[in-house]
Amino acid sequence: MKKAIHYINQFFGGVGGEDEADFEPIVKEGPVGPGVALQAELKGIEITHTVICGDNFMASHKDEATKRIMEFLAGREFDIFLAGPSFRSGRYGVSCGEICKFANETYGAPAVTSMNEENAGVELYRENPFYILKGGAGAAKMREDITAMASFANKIAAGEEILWADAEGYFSRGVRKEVFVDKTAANRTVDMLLAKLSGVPFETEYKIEVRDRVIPSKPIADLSKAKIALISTGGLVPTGNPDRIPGGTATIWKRYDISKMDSIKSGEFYSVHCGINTDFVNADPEVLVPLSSLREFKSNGEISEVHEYFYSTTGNLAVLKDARRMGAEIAVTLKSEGIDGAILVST
Amino acid sequence: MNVGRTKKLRIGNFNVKDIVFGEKTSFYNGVLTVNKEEAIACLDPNKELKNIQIHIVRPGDSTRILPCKVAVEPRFRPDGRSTFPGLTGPLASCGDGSLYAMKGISVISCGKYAQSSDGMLDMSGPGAGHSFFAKMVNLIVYAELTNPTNIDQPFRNEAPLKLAAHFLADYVAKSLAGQEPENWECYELEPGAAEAESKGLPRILYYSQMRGQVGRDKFFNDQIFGIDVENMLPVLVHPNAVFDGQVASFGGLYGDGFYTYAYQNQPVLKRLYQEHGKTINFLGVVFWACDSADKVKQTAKVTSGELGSMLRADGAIVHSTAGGSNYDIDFFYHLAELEDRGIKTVGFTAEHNGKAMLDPKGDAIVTGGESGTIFEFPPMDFVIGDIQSVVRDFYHAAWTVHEKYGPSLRPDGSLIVNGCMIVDSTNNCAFTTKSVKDF
Repeated sequence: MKKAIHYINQFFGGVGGEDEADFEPIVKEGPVGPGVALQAELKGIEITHTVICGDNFMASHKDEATKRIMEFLAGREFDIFLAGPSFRSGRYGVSCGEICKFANETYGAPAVTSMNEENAGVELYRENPFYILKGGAGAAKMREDITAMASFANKIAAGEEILWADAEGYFSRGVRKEVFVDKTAANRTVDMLLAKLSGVPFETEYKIEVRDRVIPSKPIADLSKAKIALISTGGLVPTGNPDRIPGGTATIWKRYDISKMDSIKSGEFYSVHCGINTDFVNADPEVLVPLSSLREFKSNGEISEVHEYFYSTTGNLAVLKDARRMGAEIAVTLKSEGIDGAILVST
Repeated sequence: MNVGRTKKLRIGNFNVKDIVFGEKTSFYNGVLTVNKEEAIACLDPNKELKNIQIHIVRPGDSTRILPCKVAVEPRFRPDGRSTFPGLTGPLASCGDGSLYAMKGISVISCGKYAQSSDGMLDMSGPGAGHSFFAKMVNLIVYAELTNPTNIDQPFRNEAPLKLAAHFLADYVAKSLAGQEPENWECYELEPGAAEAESKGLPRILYYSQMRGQVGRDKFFNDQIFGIDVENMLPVLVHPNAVFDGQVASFGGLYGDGFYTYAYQNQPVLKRLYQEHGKTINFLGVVFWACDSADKVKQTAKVTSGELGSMLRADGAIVHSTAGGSNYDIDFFYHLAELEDRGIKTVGFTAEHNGKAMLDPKGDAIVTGGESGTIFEFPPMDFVIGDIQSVVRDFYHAAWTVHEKYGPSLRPDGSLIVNGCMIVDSTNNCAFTTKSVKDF
């Protein structure tokens, strides 16, 4: 028999409604409220304890709430963490998301909750490695949501393979994984075209969500007082590639001292980028790092200083997560060096 | 030679169950026997290779082959035309007449030094499940260039090594001369077109992206009739000619991307042919070259769109040549351009940790695989090629320094790499049932 902890709010815990939203967390043995119906449908899982906490308390005293819940859980073994369902209730959804995240991160336990797509908790927590099932709009859908949570928890407890988001009914977590399906890709492609031509519904296999908009920073007020740095994702490295920067899927960046140079010379630097014809770069590395132009700006007084390093990695086939991290790391370094502006030259 | 107004291609298939070495190169009873010395003597006409070896690898072998460069299906043309006109022999039109094909095998060339788009074939173990080449018997030619150049660079010209697979394939396929194929596949546009026109079926084009950004001197870009496609404007090609050697790919053999074997057997084209006259009016193939300069991309996009409009296409499939970065831009440019012209599109592409560019006009996309997937592969008993290439040379799939995983090659010969490593792993040529789902 596997053990589960169930988290619910003050309302479903039978403590009271909105006036009790500041209710401080308590733990009760066995299932409570919706947990009773949930328990009835769980197979091989026992809800040993129920944590009840006011939505406001969780929202406004997150650290204190999780600290107290951690104290309750100390020494108690559990295999899975369940929360909700929270329907469209935003604060309850956020509480469920927060506590699932906490249980998942702290104990490594799989966690399952259920929310409606309108619930603010979905966007806040969906990219965490636990599961938010797609739930109903309100408590009228309690039975369906409880059944879905139970059967999904049963699958996890039985060690069954968890399929993709649409197949299982959870919100996708921003994770793309390869799977083998029934039809060949060639047949899927032509079938989709036939459907699209005849107006039959079809489902794209790559949903486009335009979500990551970069807001440009404000212009530099007085360029003549600015210290400027150069960044390149064109894989420009000292010849021989001493730091072994990869030609694709790079996860590291390096910076190279150019303080003693007037220009970047062919032969001293070359590109290890695996996605372009690097001959142009190797013939004139300044197409990536235009140091001599910056030196000219400096001597004309148009800028105050050229930073003594240029920053380098390979953008080819970069993983977004790594690219973001490297970008942030470089930004922090530039900040700490007192750089006012940086030029990221297109590759 | 009489070139007719229409093209009718008959592909005579010979199923090859096994390959063995023997006295006389011959094909009998489903078994291809290869005289090794003769084969080696034929595959390097200009004597530019050294340490030439030929190996036979079968499904289930504990054998790892890397870096892989080129894969071709052996073909023989009874009328004497070359298998790849303009590339392996004199120029002639192709896509018509009789062509013999050895099915179930491929010829792969592999070398010592990797280029960026080279990959690995494991004939057993977890990697084998991700490559349909691991389900075939393969004839491998390993060789080194007598005078290797630029071995410390991501790209270099390895034409003799890449062409070795073609010459070897031609050599073994000659054993089919005078034999009767097991079955025939026939491809002809005209009867279906007449039927489609009488039924008023939607007119369909197949747009296929080619690699054209690495520089002509590298023998890396795709070729049409043996001509590098760099700066080529989109061109209309008969689908039969795609099956029959008008196009070839030299951009490596890895987890992503197109390769010549895929052109010879293009499964999307085959399915379009099946539908031709029944549900669609299949017009032909538009190849366009992808280059890194935006002006070239824009030009290709507009020219492709013009072709679509002039041919009065109602729908189009847009097939990306590989699933990441630079190629994504052309892919979405094409989808958007065609949609803007009222041509309904479906795009096919693999992914690499998502896409480098998106356009919501691409609302119908089929995906083959995700080359950013991290794989671990155990060591194999035998290695053909050079395992040290993993950490010495440039692969899209491997690294010597990684923030999280450490070097790709471990002391025991096991590997941690991404999905670009195993040949055809991302199903970018649409042969297998692999897809990608949101989890």
